[in-house]
Amino acid sequence: MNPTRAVRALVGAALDPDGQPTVYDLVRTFAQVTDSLGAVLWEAPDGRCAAAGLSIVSLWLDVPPSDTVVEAEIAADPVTTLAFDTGSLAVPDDLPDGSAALLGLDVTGALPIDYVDGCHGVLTLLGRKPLAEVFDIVVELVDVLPELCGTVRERQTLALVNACDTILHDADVESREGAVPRRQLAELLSEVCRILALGLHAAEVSIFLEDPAQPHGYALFAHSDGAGSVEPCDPRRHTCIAVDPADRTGFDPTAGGAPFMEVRLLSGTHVNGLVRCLGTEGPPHHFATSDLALLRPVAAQLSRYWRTWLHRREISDENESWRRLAAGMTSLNKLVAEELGRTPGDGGQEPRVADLAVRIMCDVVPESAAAVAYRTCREAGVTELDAVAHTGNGLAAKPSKLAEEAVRSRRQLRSVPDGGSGWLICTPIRVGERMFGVLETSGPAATVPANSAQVNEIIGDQLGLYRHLNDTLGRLHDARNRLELALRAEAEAMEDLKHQLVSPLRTAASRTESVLRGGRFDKRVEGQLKAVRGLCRKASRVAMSAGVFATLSRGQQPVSKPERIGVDDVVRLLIAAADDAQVLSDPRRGIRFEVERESVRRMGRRLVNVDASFLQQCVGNVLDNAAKYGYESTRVDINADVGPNHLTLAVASTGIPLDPAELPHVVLRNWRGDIARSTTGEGSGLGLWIVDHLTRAMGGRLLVDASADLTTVRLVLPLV
Amino acid sequence: MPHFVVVEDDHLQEGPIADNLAGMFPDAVVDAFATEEQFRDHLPQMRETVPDLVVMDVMLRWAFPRPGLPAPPDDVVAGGYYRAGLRCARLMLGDGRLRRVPVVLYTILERNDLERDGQTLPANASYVGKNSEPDVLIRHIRSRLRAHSVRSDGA
Repeated sequence: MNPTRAVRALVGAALDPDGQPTVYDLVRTFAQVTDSLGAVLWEAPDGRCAAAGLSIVSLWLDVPPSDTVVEAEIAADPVTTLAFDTGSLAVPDDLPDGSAALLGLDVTGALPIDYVDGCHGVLTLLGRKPLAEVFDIVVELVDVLPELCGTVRERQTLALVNACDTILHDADVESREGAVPRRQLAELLSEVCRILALGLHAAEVSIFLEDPAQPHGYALFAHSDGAGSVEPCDPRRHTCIAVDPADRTGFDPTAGGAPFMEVRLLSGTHVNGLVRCLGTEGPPHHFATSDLALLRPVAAQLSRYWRTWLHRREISDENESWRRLAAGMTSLNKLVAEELGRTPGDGGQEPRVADLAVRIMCDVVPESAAAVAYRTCREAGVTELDAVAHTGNGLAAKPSKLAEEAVRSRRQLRSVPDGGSGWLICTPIRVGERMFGVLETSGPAATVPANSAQVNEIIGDQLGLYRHLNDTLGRLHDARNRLELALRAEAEAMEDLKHQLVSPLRTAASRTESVLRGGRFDKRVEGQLKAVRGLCRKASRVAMSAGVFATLSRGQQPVSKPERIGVDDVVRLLIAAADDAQVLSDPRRGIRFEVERESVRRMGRRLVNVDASFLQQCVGNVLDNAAKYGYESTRVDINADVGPNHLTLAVASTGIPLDPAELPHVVLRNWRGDIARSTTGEGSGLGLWIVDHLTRAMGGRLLVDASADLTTVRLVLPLV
Repeated sequence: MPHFVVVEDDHLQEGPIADNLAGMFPDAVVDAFATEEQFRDHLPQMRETVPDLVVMDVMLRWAFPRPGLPAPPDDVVAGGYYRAGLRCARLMLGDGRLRRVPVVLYTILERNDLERDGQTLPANASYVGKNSEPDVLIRHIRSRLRAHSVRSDGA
């Protein structure tokens, strides 16, 4: 084989696209193209210059030896030693006895190797053929071997990085919502350790990490032999480690002189942790600088992932914290709503709310050891703090000076006591200038936990709002009680007024009626008597309205005393109401009230089932409105429509127009149209409100239609 | 021949007042107005023929409804209906020709209702409650007329 083909074969072995070439493949190819029976690649561990320290990187034998080869126990032969020591090609002829053997084979020559990472070594060829016969080939191969070793190692590194990346990427894909749980991460990193152990021929690989949750040193997090560890850091159990200021290899005297390699997980200059390989499972039985280079990319990858994981966990923890706060606020608000709905006076309301609030505080900020809600109270002119609710050992302590100062200064105060033995946050419970107390939260850590001040403030504000609402509702409750008493008294007064007025006014009206029927008077006297009769009836209606108003004001409904009324009584009632309205209406306005009797008489022998006094009241109120809001020189038509089940009395008048959009409002208490309010001034907006209630009390209903300036009010009454 | 102005929106009350005035002052001229709008419209004419006394209801509607009725003046909208008579009396008090005309506030309201919240009756006004006997109003009118006559003579 000529040198060119030999080099091509070696390069092909290093770049085999189908496999994962190793240094072993290079050594084997080297031996085969030089027609050797074996080849051994040596390397001197870092910092060792003597040939005695040479150890095997890889060896290939054409025929496997009959005995088990323990590479770690194989010492370099004299030719190899000579080549290493002199830094030049050595052959058996260079030795005094002219021969050398290794692994039962003759040594044909040894060539010094300068690896690309700066280490030195030797390639020893074994076989029958003198080196001189393949010298040209050997020289060419030795020239490219270090580069190819570097290439192979880079490919190994790349394979390791890819394998680790696959593991970590898959974990991220599985856990899109946030950081994977700590134990799962430990398992993943243990898997990474196993891959590293295989790739680096290490007996065991460990990952130690700086974990904020375990503040003392770098804790063992994952191990190639285990499923992952999240145990507390304990140097005696080798579950934590101190990190050397540089990546390093060597032999660990505490592990029986086993070779080790440590590579730091760096973020800039910050050390996040360490990957440690201990012991070897194959040649070269030590860790060299080239192995450090192999591991560093993986370490960098682990470092980035750890930082990202910590960040994601921080965000996840924070999100979880806010979620808990939101859930806590929801439950607190629900409790507040329930408590505010109770009758004031139950002394347990405030403690119940405060108790939930302090528990929410400790739930949202797990670093809290205790939370106490204090209430301000004034004793002999001095403001003091009384504990209302507490968690942990909160009640054992008196209010801190910081709590008292927070009340005085009306602002949140925090402190980390000298010596860093714990933190304290005190938030005033207040609304505006009203101070109700203080929420005090404390914990053992040397620093105030993230967001704890904000959470304390939010919960303190919520407690303040509750106290404010509770006090306000209490005052409103008292005011309502007083108002109800006053309204009841007023309603009773109105009812009394009704009883005092209605009877004499009706008597006066009926006596006037008798006088009018029994005597003959000139027109002036008759007019005066009719006016007196009309005024008495109107006053009686007003008194009745006062009674109905009193009933409705108490939240009760007027009770109808129905009687069956025939057509004559209905006609009489309508005519009397129309007469009264006519008399009471200013004659200068020329409004005429007319009853279309024939329309009523269509009732025939049917009876309407109503309370006569309610019906008088309703018709009178409707006619009052027609007179009040009617235009001059118009007519108010009063007619009836007889249906299968109802008698509908309709009062149609022309006057101030009602906006159709206002129609639903006309039956509301105290409602008056804008034009009516500004024009007539008088009136209280109670007339149709009362009519509506009275009509419904009789089993009927009130309907109001409006078109331009024509308004029609209908009373729909039940027929029997 | 005394000249009276009666401002009363209830015609059943305005009639007896006018009748009583006519009874006591047979040769009296009585102008009656039923709304604040009518009273204000009549003010220019009152400046020409200054009345001797005005009998004024206090709760007084602004106007009778009619098609195209304009919106009331701002002071009426702001002041409302319940003290319209006081507003009319103050209008007269602010008028150079009418400021000395006595105004008798004839109302169902109590005097302390009118003087609530630190309000005082206009300087040209006096008070007679409607719940008193009718001759109380007439005696009061006589008294105001005598006083007015003395002041007018003195002036």
